[in-house]
Amino acid sequence: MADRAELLGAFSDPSRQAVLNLLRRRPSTVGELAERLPISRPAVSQHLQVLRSAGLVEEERRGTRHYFRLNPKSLAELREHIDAMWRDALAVFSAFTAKESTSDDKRRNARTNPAKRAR
Amino acid sequence: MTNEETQEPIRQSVHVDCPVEDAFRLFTEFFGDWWPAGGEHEIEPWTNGKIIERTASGEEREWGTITAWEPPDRLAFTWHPGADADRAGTVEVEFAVEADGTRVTVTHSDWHLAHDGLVCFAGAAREMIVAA
Repeated sequence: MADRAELLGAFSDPSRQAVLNLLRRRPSTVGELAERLPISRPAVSQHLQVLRSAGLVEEERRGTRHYFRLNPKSLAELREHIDAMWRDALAVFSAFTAKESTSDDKRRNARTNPAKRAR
Repeated sequence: MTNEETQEPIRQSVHVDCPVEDAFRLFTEFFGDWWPAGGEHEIEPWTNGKIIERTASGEEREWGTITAWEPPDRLAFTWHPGADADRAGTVEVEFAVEADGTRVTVTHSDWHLAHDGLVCFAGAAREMIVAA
């Protein structure tokens, strides 16, 4: 699996994001993608190579046609990133509430915000 | 894992040592004080209120809209950090009484729509937490 820098690099281009958005709906060939995007077939091919190298899309051969589709493993990896973000954010929030509860009097005096703890 | 399973809502929860009312208020009113990401952040405290980031250069960006404002039990908003509003996922935050405090549960649905923005965002948040 690609590292995060490569993953983010693959995502950073608007055309590649457009390709991913189309592939999210269904697997497609280079020709199908080029029809729906304002870029040429060679450009679509180039973007697909970057996405494939980052592990975001897979190629599948059906008869004589080559289809590209999202790699479910890469989506699982993204899910882990976002899951970890919420875990981290909630841990920070929990620590913040603990700090606020113990320094509540200090904060009451320091802040000028009128909407204060009502009790 | 299939795509369908992978795209299931993400759920995380945490215990906080304060009453539900305080937990809700600290989460929303003090969002800018605890939210682990760069820039200044604010939640406008009403339904249809915006989630706003002000960058260091003074630029203002909207990253979501409040869809449910039910203090002190529940808050829900659309969320699309780093992406356009038509690619928003939804986040629901529930505050429930439990022994010695409050259980705060976040449910993030349709996160895959704005996943690129979210991954950049998650990476930046993580770096800040590690640095702190």
